[in-house]
Amino acid sequence: MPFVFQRVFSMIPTLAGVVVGIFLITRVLPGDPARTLAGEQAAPSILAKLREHMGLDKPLWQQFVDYTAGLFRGDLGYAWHTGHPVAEDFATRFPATVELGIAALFIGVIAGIPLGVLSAVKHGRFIDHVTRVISLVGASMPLFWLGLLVIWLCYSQLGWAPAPVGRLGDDVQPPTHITGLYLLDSILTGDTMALGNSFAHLIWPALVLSVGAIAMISRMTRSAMLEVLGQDYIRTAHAKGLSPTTVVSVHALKNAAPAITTIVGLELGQLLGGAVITETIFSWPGIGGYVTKSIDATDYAPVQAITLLAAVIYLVVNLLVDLSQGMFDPRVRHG
Amino acid sequence: MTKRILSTVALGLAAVLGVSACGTNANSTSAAKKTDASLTVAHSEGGKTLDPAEANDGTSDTLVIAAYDQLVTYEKKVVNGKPVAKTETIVPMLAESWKADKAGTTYTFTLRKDVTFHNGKKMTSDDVVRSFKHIADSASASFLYKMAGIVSVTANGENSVVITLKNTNHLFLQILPMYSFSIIDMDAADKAGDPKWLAKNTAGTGPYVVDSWDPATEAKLARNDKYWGTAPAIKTVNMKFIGDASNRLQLLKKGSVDLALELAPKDVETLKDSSGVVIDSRPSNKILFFAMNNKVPPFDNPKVRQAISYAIPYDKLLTDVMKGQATRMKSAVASSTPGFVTTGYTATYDLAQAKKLLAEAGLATGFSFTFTLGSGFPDWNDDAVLIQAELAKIGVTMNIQNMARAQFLEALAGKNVQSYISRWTSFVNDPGYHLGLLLTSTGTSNYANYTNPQLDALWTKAATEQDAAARNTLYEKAQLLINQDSPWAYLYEYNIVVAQRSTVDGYTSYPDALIRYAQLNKKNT
Amino acid sequence: MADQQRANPHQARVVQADRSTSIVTLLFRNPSAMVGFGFIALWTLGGLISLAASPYSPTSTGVGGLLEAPSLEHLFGTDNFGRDILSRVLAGARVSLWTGLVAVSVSLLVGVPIGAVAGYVGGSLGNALMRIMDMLLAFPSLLLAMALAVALGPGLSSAMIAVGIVGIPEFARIMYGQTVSLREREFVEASTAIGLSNRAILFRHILPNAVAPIIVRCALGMGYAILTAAALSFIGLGAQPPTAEWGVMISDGRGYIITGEWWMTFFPGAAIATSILGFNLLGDGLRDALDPRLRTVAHRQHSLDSTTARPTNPTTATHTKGTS
Repeated sequence: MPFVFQRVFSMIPTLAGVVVGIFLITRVLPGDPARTLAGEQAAPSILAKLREHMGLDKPLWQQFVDYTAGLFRGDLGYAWHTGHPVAEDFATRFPATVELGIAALFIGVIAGIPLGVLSAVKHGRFIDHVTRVISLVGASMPLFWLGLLVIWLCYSQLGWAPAPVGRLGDDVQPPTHITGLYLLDSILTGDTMALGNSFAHLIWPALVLSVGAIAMISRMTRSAMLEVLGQDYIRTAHAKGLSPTTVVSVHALKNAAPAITTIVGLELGQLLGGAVITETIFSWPGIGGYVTKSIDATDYAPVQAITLLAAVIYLVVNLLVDLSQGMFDPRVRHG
Repeated sequence: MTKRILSTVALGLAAVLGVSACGTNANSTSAAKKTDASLTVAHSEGGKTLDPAEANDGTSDTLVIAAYDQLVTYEKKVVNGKPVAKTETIVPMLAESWKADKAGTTYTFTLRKDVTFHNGKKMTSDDVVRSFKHIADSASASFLYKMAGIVSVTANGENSVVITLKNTNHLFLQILPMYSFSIIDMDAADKAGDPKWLAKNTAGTGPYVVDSWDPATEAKLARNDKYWGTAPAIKTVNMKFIGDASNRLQLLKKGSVDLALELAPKDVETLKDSSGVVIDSRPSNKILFFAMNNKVPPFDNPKVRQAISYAIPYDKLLTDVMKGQATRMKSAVASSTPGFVTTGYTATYDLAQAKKLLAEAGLATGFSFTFTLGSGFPDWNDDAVLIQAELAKIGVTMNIQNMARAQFLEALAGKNVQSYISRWTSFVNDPGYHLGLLLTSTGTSNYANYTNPQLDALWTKAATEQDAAARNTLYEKAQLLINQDSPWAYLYEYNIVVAQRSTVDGYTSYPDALIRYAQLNKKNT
Repeated sequence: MADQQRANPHQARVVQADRSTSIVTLLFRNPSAMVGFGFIALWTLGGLISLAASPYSPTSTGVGGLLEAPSLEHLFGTDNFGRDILSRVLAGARVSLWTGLVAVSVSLLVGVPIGAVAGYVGGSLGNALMRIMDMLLAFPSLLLAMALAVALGPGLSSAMIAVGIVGIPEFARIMYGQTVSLREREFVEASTAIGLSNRAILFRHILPNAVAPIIVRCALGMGYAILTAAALSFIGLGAQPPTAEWGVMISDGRGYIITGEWWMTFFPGAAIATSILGFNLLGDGLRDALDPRLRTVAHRQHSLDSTTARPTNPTTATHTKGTS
């Protein structure tokens, strides 16, 4: 337990650094949020009024104090470019990003782990080389290009995919709001129409986003499996006459689990980054498009909030991975 | 003069209805008939606010204009068989009549007695007074309030409002019909206690009620069945917010939306062949110009500016970039603005002439300059690339510097940008408004630092000139001066393109380029 | 938490081994590294040859009709200005490789000294330095790159530096890990005993021993830098028109995908993908060549730590930094 506290405690200076850092970076950005909001026809008198209205006329330290005080109250600030508090914008957009991220991670796991196991078991053989190359190719794909190709091929040419616009077709109502994840909500409410439609919209961006995850997870699985397969007890298991399938699935995979969990966890943070581009290309109404628009508008509050959110996710995922490793492998605690 | 004639005209309700119906289209009866039809529209953005006094983007403005009414509005006319706003003539809306005193500084508006807000409250002079107070205090529209020259707004009994102006000001009645001057039920806003309540809620008298609005995805409007004026034909309007132009195009082609806005010019071209889609493309007063900083060498020399204006491939910009969805711009004001003349404007695409002018300016060997390109408008990017290629032919190197929109606006405000492209729409379709902001030496958007005392004098004189004809003469002289000095190279006037399914009609164009949903109707549904 | 980096038992042995065997020889035996090298050579040569003999000028408009499909005349077709896409893709190779080089140099020249000092000096200074690196890693990297690129002003050089800064912590961590583990090794202890200065120990012993993982990181970092810079250009924060840059070309072609002019997007995208693949394959192969025992270590162009086969503490040992 002290280990957990120590780890949580050690996140605080990092987070404080991120809060200060992003505050300063947004203030250094050339571009005046009031001017962007007011548009090109704005007169100086309007700008002065707007700045006052937005709190930009205050000295920098005052703005920082207001911002951090807001954070402690749980107030993320006001997004001027949408006209909503940032927290409200998050509430409407975050579920979309989470749904996309989880779907991509799910694809990454169900495709990546078997590929990695296969590659390790057939170590050094043709199939191994093919798998390794596939995963390297996957890791080398620029998502913005892959997304456009998928839209061109699967939507424009083949007509398999629905129009790359959002999470549902126009004629379909969103399922009753429970979690905000359309797929889950439509299952929970038995809404088959929304289920089919949201699945059709989700699968394409999720596939694009999952390419990196598949590559990463399969490579990690392969290396973890190779290490385990080389251990004495696996040789013993083989020697005992256990079937290769049993050896691989029961013994080896179990022992490789911590490393695989680690990478799956870390991949989650990675996916949130990739979501920025994927969401833009598929007009997915999540946090990704919101980031781009906020930066475009030099809208301080949402940029700060998103950065902070991403940093928290990054640190928490790392913490959880550490803790789960601690569970699998007690030695880590003493490391 | 015009003011007084206008102000004595008190049109009754029947007349207004008659006028708007004739203006709508040939099937005027269908426009007035309520139907159960619903309309789905693809907008490019989701809007920022519902507050009439703060709205300044297309989607916010469209929502405001659907939910609110103003005291007066523009007359309509038919040009080339299509209904357009006749901005010179102002007709009643919430005010059934108005009178100006002899000096033209005190206006008395008589309000309609049969108007209620969406929540059932009756509209009175008190609401008008408080709405104007809200506008005067706003961050955005207070600027128009000042421009209109309003000194005080007072109630004169329950159904009459007196507005006094600083001077006679011909812009006053031009500004009143703008969405910013909507009449709001300030009681509702005050009751909510939240100063931002109006940003997310509506409290108007308008033809539609905003049922829901999520800037990330869509908004839903429902017909105000107790509307005091002509009931809208469309029962519900679904506004979809779709950022990508090619996605909006696809949805329209498939019939998933009835109307799509802000399509890319190249897409408009492909739509011409698709059945069931009608393109309504018409000139607007939205202009695009290539500004050269008159204070930064070598552009402080008019010869150099003129040389550049002879090196621009005007036709190529219209055909290759805008695919015909634009027309030549030939004066500092748009061709649809009253008082527009092309006198003094001679530039054509003529590299030999450009070279000659450069030589006269002592720059026969050319020069290089920085061009700042604001992001977010694909046509600007394409224009810049084509102009750069032509300038290279006369030995002029144009170094393009990309900037995100926010940085671009900031840079312009510094007035040090050497050259840039910018668009402009004068929502008040008046040369005084246009030139005053863009080209007088005190103009707040005169980022190219054009200064000509003669122009300033003409403009000041025109601002207080009551007679429209005399005013236009002054503005014509002003345009001649500008055209000769060429502070800008004129690129083009954009068309407003509305692509709609053939079942939709009734679209009327206004200088603000907004769609009034209440004027639309849909056949066979 | 930074000091939880555990010494890698293989490290010293491995590094000793490759002193005697030429890296190049080992590389030649690795087919995937050769394929990677091939891609890189292809784009380098293409970029260089096009300086002298480009089919058309990459920035001249109207050398062909507008939006012509690939043909014998224009192998990759023409774009919306009638520019030859093949010429632009080749010119883009120079831009992208140069971007990668500059960015990786920035990361290397700043990150390695930070890591070396933090690892060698240790104590509160070392701790503070690595904390700052932690903080940089906690920023979403694409967002950080975007913000830095905007703050540094428009242009490709801003984008290069921004991408370089984002890559600093990765180099610092590798160097830090190497230094910490090597500091405890016998030969360093011996050097200290002989009385060599810290500087001499750093330069003569620690740096040469850390070269292998750093080279691997450079190769993978090139891929990462090319990708991120292209992503920045794609969203309008990098190269300026009419520069032929792959990310910009994709962005230009984006609006033409649905109307069927796929070649405007396809070729520059394929160029990005193959050049990144080249660096990834090469990095992978280099790792195998430099350290056969660790050839199975998982990595991706922007997420690896070359010192440990299995991250013991992911916060310090492995980090995934995502972009596009």
